[in-house]
Amino acid sequence: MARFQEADAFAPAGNLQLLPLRFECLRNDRYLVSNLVGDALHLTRRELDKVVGLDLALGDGLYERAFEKLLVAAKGQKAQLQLLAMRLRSRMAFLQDATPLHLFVVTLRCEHSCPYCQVSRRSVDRERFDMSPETAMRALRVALSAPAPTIKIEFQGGEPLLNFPLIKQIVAAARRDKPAGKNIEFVIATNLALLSDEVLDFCRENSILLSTSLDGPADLHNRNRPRPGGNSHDLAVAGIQRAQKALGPDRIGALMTTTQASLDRVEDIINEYLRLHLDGIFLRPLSPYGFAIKTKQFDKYDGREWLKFYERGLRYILEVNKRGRRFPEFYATILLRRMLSDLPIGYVDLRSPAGIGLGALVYNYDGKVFASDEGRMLAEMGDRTFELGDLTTDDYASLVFSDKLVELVGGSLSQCSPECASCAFEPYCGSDPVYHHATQGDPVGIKPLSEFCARQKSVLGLLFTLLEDSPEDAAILRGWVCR
Amino acid sequence: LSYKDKPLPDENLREKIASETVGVRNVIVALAFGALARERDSSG
Repeated sequence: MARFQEADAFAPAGNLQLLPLRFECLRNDRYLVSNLVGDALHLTRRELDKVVGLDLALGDGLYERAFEKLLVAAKGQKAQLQLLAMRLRSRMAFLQDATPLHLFVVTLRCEHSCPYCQVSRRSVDRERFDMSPETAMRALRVALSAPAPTIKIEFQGGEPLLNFPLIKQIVAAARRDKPAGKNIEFVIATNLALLSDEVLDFCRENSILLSTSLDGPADLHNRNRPRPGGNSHDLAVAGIQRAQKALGPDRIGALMTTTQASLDRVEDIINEYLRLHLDGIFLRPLSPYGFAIKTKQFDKYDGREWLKFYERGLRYILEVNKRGRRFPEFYATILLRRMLSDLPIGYVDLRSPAGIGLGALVYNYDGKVFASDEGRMLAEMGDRTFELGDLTTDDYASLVFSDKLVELVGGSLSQCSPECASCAFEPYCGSDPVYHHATQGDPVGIKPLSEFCARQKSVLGLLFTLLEDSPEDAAILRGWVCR
Repeated sequence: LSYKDKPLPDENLREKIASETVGVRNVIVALAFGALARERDSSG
């Protein structure tokens, strides 16, 4: 008759091996220790040294914690290595569905004149700055040949509604020409100033999402986003409300950009989103491109000031949630998904290998193709590092397998980049070669001097601290990931 | 604390961890993305 062995037979003493792990000191004697797939423990330095030295014994508590988080394993035990491999593969499954996002810059013209405009919009010359139908159809052929089973086509500008007839042509052609089994989603990124019943009807008929910009209450928004008449906020708010009514409350989202004038207004900004029944907010810093550099908007505050703004905003949002209103902060939600699950994320700016080309392609109004939206923003500033080719001569394969993209993607692996390779936050982070090229002249980046790195570490550290120290906040943060 | 009990400076500890785990890290990555993963895909 089969019998269980004595408990001693399962004791790991003297038979343990260390698994790959990384650590970061959060504060004083508190270390965050993470494994290859982002399972994390908070340990004291003494506990960390004991784990690394395999100075562990069955029943001492630390052994059980380290074993559960896959920081140590029994020598020769294959199951834990296979589990780590399977989970690592799952976390990087985004690589199996290449290039799900396709941005069509249907015009560079815009009737706004925002000083932080990162795409360097133009105000005149329809002939020169609008995408032609021929270019659009070439771009569509490339987009439809991407391997991803579901692709998203996003219409960008300038203000894309200034070339609405072309949007209609592209949507109709995409529906007509799409291969069997391929799903297509459409998004128009618009400031809503030109929103009409015709546009809303078209969006409803074609299940098109709208994405807009809302920087906060009227005085702040209008200061950030000037246009003739000074009524950008009125038009945005009216547009949001009309779109919610015509398309459904979840068919329009808004993005804010933080300027110097926003820094002490985070509660006002969040309240404006709540007032308009938007389903969350993305607290975003300015990016170092376009007019944000030319007009020196980018230099008007530093990373530390933005982090203070962000932490204050996140804590305010948590209080809103505690009062019963579900209202996520989307940047935290993206990171939490990486921290609390093995689901691959679609967000192209926070993954490794980088999302350039493999996550998104950008078809510019003039037929040039870029590896990311920020790459085309740089090109408007005269730097064509992330230009992959031209729609008159290239197809999907020649763009994605170009030597330029292969080299840039190969160099973007945070898993083996200096600093990142030994960073406890690496499993939750990503690489941003365009940002580091723009700010440091090096796509890999010099991480100790990188504001991207400082921002990531600070926000991730804040989230880990909230998850560990505050059960009420932790329950809310976990809830944002679950839906 | 005796010399033996003093914690290693962070960078030395990182180096120690890396050198002790590089082999098993390579095995995990190979299981995830290398020939073994391809075998699993083709048999599945």
